[in-house]
Formats: sequence, C-alpha cells, structure tokens
Amino acid sequence: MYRYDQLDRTFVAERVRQFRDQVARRLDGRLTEDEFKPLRLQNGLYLQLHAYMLRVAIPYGVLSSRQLRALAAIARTYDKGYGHYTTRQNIQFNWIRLDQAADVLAALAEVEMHAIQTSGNCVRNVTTDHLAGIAPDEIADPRPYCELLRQWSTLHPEFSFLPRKFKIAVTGAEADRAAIAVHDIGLRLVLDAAGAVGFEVLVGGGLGRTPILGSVIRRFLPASDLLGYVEAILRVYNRYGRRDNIYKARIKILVKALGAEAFGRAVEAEWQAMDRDGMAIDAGMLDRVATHFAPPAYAELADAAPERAQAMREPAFARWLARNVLPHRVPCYRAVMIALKGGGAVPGDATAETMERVADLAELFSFGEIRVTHTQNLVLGHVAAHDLAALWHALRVAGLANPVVGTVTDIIACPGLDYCALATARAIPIAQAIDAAFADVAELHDIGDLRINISGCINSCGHHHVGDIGILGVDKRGQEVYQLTLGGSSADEASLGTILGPSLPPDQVAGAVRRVVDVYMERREPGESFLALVRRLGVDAFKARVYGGLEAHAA
Amino acid sequence: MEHYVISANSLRSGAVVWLRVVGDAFGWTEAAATASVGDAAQRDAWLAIAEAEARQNRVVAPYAVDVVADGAGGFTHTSTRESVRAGGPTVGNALAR
Repeated sequence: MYRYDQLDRTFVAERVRQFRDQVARRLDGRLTEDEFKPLRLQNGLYLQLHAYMLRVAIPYGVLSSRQLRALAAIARTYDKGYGHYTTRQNIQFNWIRLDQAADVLAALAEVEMHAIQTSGNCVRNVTTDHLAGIAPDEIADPRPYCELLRQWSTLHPEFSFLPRKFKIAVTGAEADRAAIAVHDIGLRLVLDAAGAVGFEVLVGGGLGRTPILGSVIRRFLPASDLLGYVEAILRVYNRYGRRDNIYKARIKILVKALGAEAFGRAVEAEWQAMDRDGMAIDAGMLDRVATHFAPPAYAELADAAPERAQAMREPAFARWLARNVLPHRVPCYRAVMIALKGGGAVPGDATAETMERVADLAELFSFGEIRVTHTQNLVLGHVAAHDLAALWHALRVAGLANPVVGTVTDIIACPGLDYCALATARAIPIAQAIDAAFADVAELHDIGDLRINISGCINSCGHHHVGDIGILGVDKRGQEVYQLTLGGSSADEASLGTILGPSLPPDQVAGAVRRVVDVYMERREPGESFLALVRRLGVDAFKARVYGGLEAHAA
Repeated sequence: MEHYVISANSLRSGAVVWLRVVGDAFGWTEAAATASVGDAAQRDAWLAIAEAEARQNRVVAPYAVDVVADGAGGFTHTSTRESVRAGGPTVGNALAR
C-alpha cells in the first residue's frame, strides 16, 4: 500500500501543527467561530447533532493493520470506543472534543493518515472497488491512479473552493463495484483495440435531491492523460458551475444544463489548450506509485479448494463461504468480507475491540491489509484458501462471521438523525427493524442478493436512490416517515429507484419490506434478480401488496 | 402559550448544553431536564445572554428550541430532532458507553 515519503510526512505534520495553533486561537478567542469554522472543516472536523465529528480519509478504502489499530486507539482514547465506516470508504468519530482534535490528527499522522479534504467544496477522498488488485475480472489495478489523483488533488490551489464538493470514483474491473455512475466523475479502466490501458470517463452523476446518472463524455482516454483531462473537467466546472444556489451547484446540474455533449466539448477544448505534456503521467511516475501496490508475497499453493471438504461437514461454514468469501485472481487465495451488519449492529459501526481483532486477523491471514467497502463492511483481501476454516472460527468467536454479505440485512445506512445535524429522520433503527424481521439466515440465503439502502435525508449519503429497495426518511410535521423506492442500482446498467407510494411511519417499514420481498419470492423466475423483476413487472405489482389493507400515512 | 429553552454546544468539548437561569445568575448545563423554560419575552433576553456567551467563546451556535412546558418547570420537546439531540443517539454503541 502507499507509504508516505518525506514530502508527505512534512506536509501532514505541518498541517497538524497549524491546526493545533488554530484551535488554540479559537479557544482563547483570537479567532471567532466564523473565522474558525472553515479551518476546522478543512481538517474534517464538523459540529454534528451532539458533538464534534471528525471524518478521517481512508484513501481508496485501504488500511494496514497498524493504521486500523491506530483508529481503534483513537476510538478508545478520544471517542466513546467506536467509529463509523461511511459510504465513501472513510471513518467518522462522533465524539471528538475540540481541545483534543489536534492530538487526534497527530495520532493519525503517526500512521500516515489525515482528515484533509474530507469536508468542504474540494475534491474528496477518491473511492474505488474494494476488490482492487484482487478481483479476477480486473482489467488493471485502479489504486495507483487513485493515488495519483489524490496527490494531484490534495490542496490543489485552483480547486480548493469549487462551487460544491467533488467526488471521484474509479473502477478497474468489468463489474462496477465502485458505483461510478453516481459520482461527479466516474472512471472505468478499459483497454483499446491495441490493448493499451485507458479510461472511460463519466461526468455528472450524483444522488442527493436531484439524482442523476453520469454521462460518458469520453469512451477512451489514454491513461497517461488522466490528470490533465480531469483537470480540464474541474476547470470547466469551476468556471461555469453555479455558486448562487447550493442545491444547483454540483457538476451534475451543469452537465444537465449544458447537455453532456456540449459539456464534453468544453472539456476537450480546455484540455487541448493546456500543457498536456506537462500534465502527462509518464511511465516512471506511474511505476513509482504502482510499486506501492505490488501484490503481496503470495505463497505457492496448489490450486485446490480445501474449504469444500469442511463445508460438507459444517453447514454454518458453508453458508459463510457462500456469502462472505469471494474469488481472488490468484486461484488459491480468496477475499473475505466481514459484515459490520446483522444481529442488531449499527451498519458500519465498529468498536475499538472489533478493529483490533480485525487488525490482528489481517496480520495473521491477509498480509496485514484491510479494505473498507462503500457498503460499510471490511475485507481481508488475500486469504489463502487453506486458512479459511481457521479464519472463520476466529471471526465467529469475535462475532464477525455473520454470513449476510449482499443479502437483505447487509444494509447501507447513513448515521441519520441519531447523529447527523442535516438528517430529517433516523436511519439506523429502520435498519435494525429490518434486520430483526429477517433474522433467519437460511431465508436470507434463499432470497439471495438484495440491496437495501437507507438515507435519513434527501442528501442521500445512504444511497437510497440506488438500492434494490431504497428507503428515505423525511420529516413530516415533526414526525419521521419513510418513502420506499424500488429498482435502483449503482452497478452496471445503473438505475434510479422508482417511488413505490405514500410514505410510511417507522413501525410499518420493515413490514413493507417484508411484503416487497414476498412478491419477489413469489414472482421471480429461476435466477431472476430483484432488479430484473422490478424492471419486468413495474412497481405497481409491489405497490398493491404493500399498501393493500394498510392505512397510508398522510399521502 | 409558547415556551422555549435555549441550547448550544460547548465550544471546548462540543457537548450539547442548555441555558439555566436562576435570578440574575446563569450557567450552562448538560442535563436537558435542568434547562430553564421561558416564554417568548424570556426567550429573547436569554438568547441575548447566549449570544454574548458565544462571543465570550464558551458556546457555539446558540438557538431557541420550541418546547411544551409542563407547568412545573419541566418540558418536553416537540420534534424528534430535538429530543434525539437532547437524549443522545437512540441506538447502538453510544448507549453502551
């Protein structure tokens, strides 16, 4: 994984020192709140519903065991013993004191982490496929490009005050696990006819109150031109994006207003006019960064499936293999998902003890590396097949072997009104109610893949627009009510969900989800996904069941 | 009749705090139940105190919260948001600690 060089270390240490001084000046009154607020936000420190919240960047979702232990130590020393993994592969601490915030940043800097650009109208953490470098369907490893984008965008003087925040996602695989169509820029690694590596470039995707899928503005961009082309996109946005209305300031609104073709032409013109050679990623530059992402020293193992024999004897192990273990491009290795879900868990929350246990297990079984997924789970990416049984036992003891990845209870949920100052309704209790209603693991496995995403407000951090079942919590005259959408997807052939009907009170949501799933189970053809069924039947087939005999809540 | 409490966050810790007024004295409390409940006239006077406290760098973002007074000095919140803000997260790890 990427290691800081002297330049990175000096820069981050200097930022910590600056922030310590800024906090001191705020506390003794030399800085007013109005002066200080932008400074703390530039260091990821928000004032949330209950307290200060620190959002820490996990570049493209990759952590070392050492870093994960440091996050655990921060949770224990400076917070209430837990952290929350977000849909952007970051971690948030909910209870940081302002007078200790610089100490937290110093502790992060010790392990080459920071909270820079986790807030504000700048380029945020670049996210990617959590199976980068692992997936058998990968064309090229996206992480070196993510790292180059991170270096290019960090404190970029031209793009520190964009009209609005800016999110980039990159996938290097055939199957999109990075939700690139719902990002400001989505990048997909592709090969041209000659086998050269390049990017398909999407712009203008996003969720929020105006959900829009990104448009392709370039089918093939030579990989060496990535930074110049992205800079051209940012320039066009920075120049023409709206600054008069926060709700119309994201790039998606500009792309929609101009039309993707015209936007693409403006980008091309900007790009042609710039010093493209000066911006080119040369081979040396790419190699220098790619070295950090070299594969670990895999053992020479027989290409066998030693887990199969044990699975015959242990049904619980078999269930875990079926849902939580994924193939690896190296045949005798597997990627193991750890669901931070189920059993009443808060989606994405991990205690300090859990983080330490996962860090230990990563060291024992997965070369000391952990990934964070945008679905708020963790991954041990390089587990030898013959270690799976031992790892499963260890995870089970720690309560981390819940075999529910990708099922109804592997729910994405934002912190919602339990934590967030912007939220209009709670998201976590809804996730827990659904979790309780689908406690039967055999049933979950029978249902199969089904994504439920919950947002506690229209800002859509819980990605509800792109869930098979999306749930949006809103406030109606001081009461929480929930709107269901069906048929969203952030993967290939991405789509936005369709509203099912009138909003429901909180105690009716899990029952409604149950009835939607019932329709799926009754009507699906063999092998038919939930999304395919919704597209085939339309939402009305579900609507009749959900609202039949149900008093709709103030339509 | 409309009633209010004044809330803010502690600058230093970030904790949610409420204004408690006793005669000419006042202070900030982290226990919502001990917040002072005022009418519309008191709200304006107390907000002025809170804003002065913000200028003195003790609290940030003070505001008046609509409540229903019980007549005995206590109150209940009128929105889910304010009751969650007062009571803390309703679920999960925050409850265990």
